[in-house]
Amino acid sequence: MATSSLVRSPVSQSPVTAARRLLAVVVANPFGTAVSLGLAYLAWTLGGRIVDWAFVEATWVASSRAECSPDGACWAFIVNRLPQFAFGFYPEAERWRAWIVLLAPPLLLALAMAPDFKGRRKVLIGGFCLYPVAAFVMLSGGVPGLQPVASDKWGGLLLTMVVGIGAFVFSFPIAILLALGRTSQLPAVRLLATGFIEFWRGMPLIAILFMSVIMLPLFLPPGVEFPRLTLAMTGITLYSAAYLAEVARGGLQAVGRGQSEAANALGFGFWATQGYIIMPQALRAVLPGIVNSAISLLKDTTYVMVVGLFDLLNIVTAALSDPNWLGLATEGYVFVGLVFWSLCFGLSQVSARLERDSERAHSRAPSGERKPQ
Amino acid sequence: MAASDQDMASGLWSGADGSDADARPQLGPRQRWARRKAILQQAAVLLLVATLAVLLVRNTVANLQARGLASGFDFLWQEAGFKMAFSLIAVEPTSTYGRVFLAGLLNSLLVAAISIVATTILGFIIGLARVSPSTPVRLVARGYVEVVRNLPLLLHLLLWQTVILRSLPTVREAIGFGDVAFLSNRGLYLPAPVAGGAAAILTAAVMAGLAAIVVGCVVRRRARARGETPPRFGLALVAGGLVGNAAAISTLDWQIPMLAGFDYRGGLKLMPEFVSLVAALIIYNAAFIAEIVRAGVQSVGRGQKEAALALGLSSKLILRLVIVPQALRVMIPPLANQYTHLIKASALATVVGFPDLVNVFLGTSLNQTGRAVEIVLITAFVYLTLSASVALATSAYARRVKLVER
Amino acid sequence: MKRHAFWGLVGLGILATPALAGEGDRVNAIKSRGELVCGTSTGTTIGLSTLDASGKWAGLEIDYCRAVAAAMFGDATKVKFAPLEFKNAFAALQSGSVDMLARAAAWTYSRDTEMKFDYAGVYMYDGQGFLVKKSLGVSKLAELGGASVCVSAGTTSELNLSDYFRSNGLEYTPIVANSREQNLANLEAGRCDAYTNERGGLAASRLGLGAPDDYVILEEIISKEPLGPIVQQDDPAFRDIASWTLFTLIAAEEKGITSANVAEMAASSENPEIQRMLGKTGDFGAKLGLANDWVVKVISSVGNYGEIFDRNLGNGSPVKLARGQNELWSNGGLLYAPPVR
Repeated sequence: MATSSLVRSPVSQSPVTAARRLLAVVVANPFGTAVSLGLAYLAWTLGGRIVDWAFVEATWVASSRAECSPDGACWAFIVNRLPQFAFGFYPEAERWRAWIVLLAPPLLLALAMAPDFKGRRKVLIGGFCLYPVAAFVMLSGGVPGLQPVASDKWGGLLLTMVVGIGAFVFSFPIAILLALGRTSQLPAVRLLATGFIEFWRGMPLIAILFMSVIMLPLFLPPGVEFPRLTLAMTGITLYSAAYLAEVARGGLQAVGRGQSEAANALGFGFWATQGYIIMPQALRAVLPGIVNSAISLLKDTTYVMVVGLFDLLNIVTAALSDPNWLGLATEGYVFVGLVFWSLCFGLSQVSARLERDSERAHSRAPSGERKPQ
Repeated sequence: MAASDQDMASGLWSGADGSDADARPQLGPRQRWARRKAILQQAAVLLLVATLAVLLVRNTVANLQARGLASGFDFLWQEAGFKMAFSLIAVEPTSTYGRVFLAGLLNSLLVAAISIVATTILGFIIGLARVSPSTPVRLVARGYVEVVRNLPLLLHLLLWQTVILRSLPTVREAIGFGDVAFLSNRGLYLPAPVAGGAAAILTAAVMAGLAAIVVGCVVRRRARARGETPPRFGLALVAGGLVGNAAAISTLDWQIPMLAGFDYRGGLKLMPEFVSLVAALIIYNAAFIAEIVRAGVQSVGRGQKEAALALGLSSKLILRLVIVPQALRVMIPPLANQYTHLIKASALATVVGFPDLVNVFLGTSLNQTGRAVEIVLITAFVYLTLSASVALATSAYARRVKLVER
Repeated sequence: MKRHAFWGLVGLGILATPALAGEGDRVNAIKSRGELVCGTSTGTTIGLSTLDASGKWAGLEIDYCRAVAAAMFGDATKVKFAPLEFKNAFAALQSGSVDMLARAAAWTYSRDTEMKFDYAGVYMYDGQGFLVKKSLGVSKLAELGGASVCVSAGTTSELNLSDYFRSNGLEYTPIVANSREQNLANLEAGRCDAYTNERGGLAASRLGLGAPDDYVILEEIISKEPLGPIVQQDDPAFRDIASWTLFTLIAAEEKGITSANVAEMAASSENPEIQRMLGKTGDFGAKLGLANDWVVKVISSVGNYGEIFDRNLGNGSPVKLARGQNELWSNGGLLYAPPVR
């Protein structure tokens, strides 16, 4: 705000000089000053009311809407339903498994981001590849020591994370194959990959989910069946793969032709060239784009609502029609918003940091090969 | 694959070229082998995909037969039997599914068109505010972007729906705006023009006026682009068109919505479902467009601005004549992506109950007729066509901007 | 290339299994899966199918699905519920992603013929009514001309509404939502003047409103809504199981067999029809390809029709709906099971 320029000015100045500087700022930038004043007014009036509603008058403990203060937020609704919002209908005795699945990614990330950690790459790549499988086994059970839990019992934030992370990880290899296909020198392969990508990018996700969950069994032979969660994840995975493929293609174009020629000269085969030379460079070049795709994907998981899966948004929406807690849509949606916002904003900060890092790396060693994206 | 990727490619392309038949005998055995391999590989991939497709079709046909389901597009001519709450063309319960499809498609297009225009304007404003020299303006814009884009679109939509439904008054206590427009949770009621008997003449007059304005603008722009003084008649055309249109519109009767029985009658009515859908689409996409605009503006070299300053241009003119035209080139591909995204996201209408294509066709019509395969095919075709048209339109525009640049 | 080929072969293997369906296929598919998949409402149809905060399903339709599971597996828990919005429900049944629908869907000519479904019976006789705010001062349908009416997408209610208002020369605006909760939210907020649906469902839905006493259900009924379980036409064996599960629930009430006394009846009843039904004599179960004592399993896990109705909609529930047409034929209602012979 306007005061920031004051704060930055040397402390030793007399009040008269400070006022004169302030006046200078106002004269030089009348529009900005107006905006600042408007903001300050808004913050004063609205901010106070919001704080009143959300904290001062809010009720945190109650067993129904009637017990909540009518002037403030009824957070008791969220508090009472928190386990359900977090895990859906996952059996209470087995929730420790869901805790592990939910907490593993942030812990692994924190470990990997720790400064001077030697095994960073191993933890990241290993975690990325193994996590979905490990999480699936952990959640669904059926192995010695773990009771089986059917996937229709998974819900809430747990389901959001399973769909989001699972679809992202599975879409990765598909996306790389598609990107290679689209840049391939074989016309038939290129055509197929392009058609596939454009089909999935051109369809609304709602229609894709509808087709994959409700219609797919019609295209399969009788007796071949999958749980709804698997079908929904298949649809989202292919959708996300098409988008990710375009990001990866951008990366492939950023890698100079000389790289593959050099690899060829050294006797590398096609897959070895791609795996050891091209892809690592290509993916690093578009790392921020990949993280951005992950953010979109996480937000898009809410669409599973239309096929009757109880993700975080849907389970909260469903809880809004509980006769004991009617009329609490604001509280419910604010809660969902806060959860999604923290997750997405956190990820976007990671993306921004990666972007800065890569810019710094490039400014140190400018590369003539890199095309502007 | 072997190490001869590049050889293979060059072999393939020289073959495909057809112009260098002489070059063919010069191919070594390695190149010939590579070419053959490339063809074999592609044939294998094609065969695989074709087999998959055949099997899928076979399964589907067998499943449909086993369930005794009818197929074919004849249902499009059958009576649908339901009414739509909002449509641009008249849809009665006696209308056919074909008409329902058309009305749904038009509704989808209407939502997309309005949202695209409005979100572009809002996005540009916020994007330019993102690079404003004034810190508070930048801060507000940044706050908007960071809050809005990190929330799922579906949440935006549900939030708007709830806000409109719960915080606007009921129809009996509608907020009046000078007794001509009214706002309630049933929608926004606006006065609508009624042309009366001379509708055709009036429409023609308005069209002629619009044409005059467009021609006048084009003439003036062309002249300015060539560095000549715009001819007088260009200005006259624009002015004449404006005056003519104003005159034509002023002769219109305005039908004012009146409360009668349960609801306001007459005038134009915007459904709350429509408003919440469009509001969510505009607000959400504007945050992304703002980021595209910011990146575009920042991609313009600092020297451009400095040079323009040195020429004595005002900051407004610099933005309009120097920065935006150059930034536009960088912005077009991501903007096209965002528009496609918006068109697809308009299918969320089905969640709030606005009768768009997905809602009335892929939803209700499919449930009533059971022609799942046909309806899915038509819907997919529509959306793929829309995406392709956005891509074509933007690439045409991009080409034009490039020519001007030269 | 090898990897392509490998995955290709896997795909082919899945797809190439013979695509043929016929008698017994649905039953075999359910048996090999080990559970029945029942398409239900999104969990807010009070009395018919509700999903509570702990993830437990309840309601008349849910109990019917459990009864079918008990008949097929001897275990009422071997059933999975797939919540479906109405406008997706028939597509889901057609594609085979659910085995049957117990989803408050009325039996109509076109659903039975054109959409190639089979109705296994009727578990609830209902009719379409209107729920309105008392303060509106409306007592007859004719007074609803020009009103906005909330209705669920793709239902018979939507079509009946259109027919009724058209044939009576009344104007109306349909406010079409996908779910009961959205319809009720719209009604409460005054987005629409009336909400139309099956009367039984409306009576139950009224309880889900913030102030149920502010609303009233109009007397008039504009349609017949026989609600029943729907299956595909491709497997008569499964249809028989679905039908006879419903019939035995009704027959059990006629014969006074309840969840409390079914074990005792099975052991000591002298009535030959009850002996046949409960598997004491004859091969009653084998004729359907089920265990001989399947009816015992059904009744002991969910009770007879009367118990199910009472628990979910009748006096044992907050809805307190009168049996009315859903009374046994012998008590003046419409429920009539063919003889078990």
